[in-house]
Amino acid sequence: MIELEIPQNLKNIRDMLHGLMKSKVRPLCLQADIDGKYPESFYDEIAPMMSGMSLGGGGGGGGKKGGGMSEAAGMKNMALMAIVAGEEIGWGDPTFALNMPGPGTGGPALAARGTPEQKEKYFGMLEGKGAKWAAYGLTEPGAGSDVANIKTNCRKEGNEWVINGRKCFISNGAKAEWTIVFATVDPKLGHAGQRVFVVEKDTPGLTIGKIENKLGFRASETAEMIFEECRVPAENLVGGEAAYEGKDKAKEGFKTAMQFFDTSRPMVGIMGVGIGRAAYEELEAWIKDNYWLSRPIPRYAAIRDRLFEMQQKLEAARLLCWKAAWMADNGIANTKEASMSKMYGPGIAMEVCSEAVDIMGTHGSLAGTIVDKCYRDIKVFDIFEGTHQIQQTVIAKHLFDRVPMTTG
Amino acid sequence: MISFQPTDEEQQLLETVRRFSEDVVIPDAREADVRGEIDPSIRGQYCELGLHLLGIPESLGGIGEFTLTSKLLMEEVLANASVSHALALDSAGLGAQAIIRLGSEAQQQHCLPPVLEEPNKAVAFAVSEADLASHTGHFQTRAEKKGGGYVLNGEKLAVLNADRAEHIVVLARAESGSGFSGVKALIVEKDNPGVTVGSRQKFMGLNAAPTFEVIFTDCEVSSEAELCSAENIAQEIVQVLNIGRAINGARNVAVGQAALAMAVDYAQEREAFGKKICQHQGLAFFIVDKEVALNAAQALNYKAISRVTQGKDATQAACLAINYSNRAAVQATIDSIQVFGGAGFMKDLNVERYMRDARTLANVLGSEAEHNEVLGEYLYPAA
Ligand SMILES: Cc1cc2nc3c(=O)[nH]c(=O)nc-3n(C[C@H](O)[C@H](O)[C@H](O)COP(=O)(O)OP(=O)(O)OC[C@H]3O[C@@H](n4cnc5c(N)ncnc54)[C@H](O)[C@@H]3O)c2cc1C
Repeated sequence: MIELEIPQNLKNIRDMLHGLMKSKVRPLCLQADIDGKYPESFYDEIAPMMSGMSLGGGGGGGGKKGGGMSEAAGMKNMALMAIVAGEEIGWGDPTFALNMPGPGTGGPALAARGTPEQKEKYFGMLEGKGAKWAAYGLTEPGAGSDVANIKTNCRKEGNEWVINGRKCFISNGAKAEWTIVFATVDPKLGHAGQRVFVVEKDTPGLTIGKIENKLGFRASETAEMIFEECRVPAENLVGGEAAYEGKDKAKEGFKTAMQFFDTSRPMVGIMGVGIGRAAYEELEAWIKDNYWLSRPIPRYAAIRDRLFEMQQKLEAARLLCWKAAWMADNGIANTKEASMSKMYGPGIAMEVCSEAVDIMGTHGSLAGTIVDKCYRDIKVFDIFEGTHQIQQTVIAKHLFDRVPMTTG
Repeated sequence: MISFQPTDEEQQLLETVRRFSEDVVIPDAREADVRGEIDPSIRGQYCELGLHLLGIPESLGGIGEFTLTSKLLMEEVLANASVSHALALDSAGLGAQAIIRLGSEAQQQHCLPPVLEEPNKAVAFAVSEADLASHTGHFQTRAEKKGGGYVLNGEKLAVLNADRAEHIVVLARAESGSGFSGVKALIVEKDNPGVTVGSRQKFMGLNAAPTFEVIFTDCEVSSEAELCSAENIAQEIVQVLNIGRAINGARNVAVGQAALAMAVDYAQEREAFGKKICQHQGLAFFIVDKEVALNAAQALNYKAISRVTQGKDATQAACLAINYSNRAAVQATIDSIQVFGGAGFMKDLNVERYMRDARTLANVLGSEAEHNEVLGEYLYPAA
């Protein structure tokens, strides 16, 4: 039976999160956008309320404790839960997702690929008092979309791996206790040469370079990480040596990089929808407050038509995300749907934000408003977690299944 | 006659402006965006080149061979370097155009020489209001007749260069009427006790072009303040706005072009999957679409301004031009960031500034709906 209603348990989570966003996060987010970070009070007061909630795209993560909301929701619809939550977070402040202490972007890879000892040690490291984060370092100055082409190299020396290279645009890269780092034994081997490591914060040879000053998404830290003869113990190779040996295992590193997209892409898509909805709601409220008096009716009709179009697109995008998540929860292959949700959501949300700024006229482009922030935040959702064009290549490969389609 | 060719004089002028942009404006552009104002010494250099005289008739101190079309071409070059600078340097702007088109000789002689002689003075033009319908004449700002003059009450938004304005030209409603009929254009002296230049307004972009809230509280002006020497006041007010539409449209296209030029350049350098990224046809076509839109928009702006220069009504041409230009520019700047991937999102590159500037500039003379409303009233006047 086709039914597109959020189940009650997820509704409860949604309403709870929405309340939190509205009462606690929204009031802080505009200043955090200026400062480039949340105040300490955020971590003392708000973050603990969210502990146990895994937003790592439903692909695992979460501390040893687990539990929290994921348990409350029942494990059957983990991906859908993340999607429902993701929209509210996008609505409140998308940087919230990455500011929330926990394994974050580093979680899924370790959860799925790490040895039991690695999981024990590194998830354990994030528990206890104080806000702690992990990060995920794949992108380099020379390779973002084309992850097979990374140049950061690693060589084994005795009981250690030595890493040399540079990672850029790494979310939480400077404050992370540990980072999942991709390197290669030989760039010519492509994916087959790649190795994945957990690198701890103060490892000698790892320095933090530039912290980026960005157009939007400003309250989330984006850092450069520089590896110069950075030595990590052999046991920090994610999954252990054996995971990279033999013919079948040749692409282990790449699989580690890619396998979470099926849940993380809809998550990024829906956060984009949340941002678009935030801008839409600001616009709608503004129109109601400002348009009645001197408005000629035909003109209102024109505005109303645009509002309807925005609604249509947001709803369609939301449903694409729900579908991709529903497929993930039901064990149905969803690579194409995940890419569609990631491509469509942030794309139309960018349009919605631009329309909102336009219709609000001079008010729309005032700095320090939610709409201004939405306009600046949304752009990156079409870039990270696979750009718009990369989603298009994935979808094209599924669509044109009788001829070989290459990304190159 | 159809020609897309600037005159020889204009070509020389544009060469000068290009050099000025490269040597003076571009080096200051990023800093000015952060600082919130342009390097003040640039004003003097701009005036030394005579660029502030474009679009001013010779009889009032302008340069004979240069028309408003020349001014638009100049603005394109400047805005391509930094549109904040183009706006901040435009001390005369639409306020001066209103005085030129609607004012008496006495009013022109009173208001124009100071701005033309003194780089730090300006004439401001106060049109936008909280009510979005303001551009179709639905002003909340009222001018009530009192004695021989008027009493002004209301609040204007985003008034460019109001802080250094000697005079502010204000549009306000004096009598009921449709469109701009019943709307008056009044000159308010900066030291009139009824006018308050409020706090500076901060926008998403155009950071170095200072704009202010301007509040009129029982602001009394004499009969001499009224700009009423034109034959058809309402039509001339609209034509002043049309000049603004064409020039801002051109400025925004130039912003879009600046962003897209960076993207085109980068797409031929950056590699992914063993090719230059422009060799991925999906990305090439994505860029090509923006190139076409910007070219189309530019042609619309040229048509609008050439109609003004020829003394023809430009309402239709200008409304088409500004809406198309704003859409094309906003999209080109958004998509240029896309071409850069993650790097485009960072303040190290100018693309993110172009995106903020284009979106903000697109609202300066009103939203798309407002221009469409003007066009609607023009094409299908209410019975
Ligand atoms: C705020 C922020 C946070 C980030 N956080 C992280 C993080 O935590 N960890 C991490 O590893 N990375 C992170 N990134 C990096 C992000 O994942 C990359 O920026 C993204 O993958 C794009 O790579 P790129 O920037 O190198 O662009 P490129 O790959 O160089 O792409 C440039 C342009 O070429 C296009 N293109 C590429 N290939 C094709 C093709 N085949 N066909 C058509 N067009 C193509 C792209 O779509 C894009 O428009 C972050 C980025 C940002 C901005």
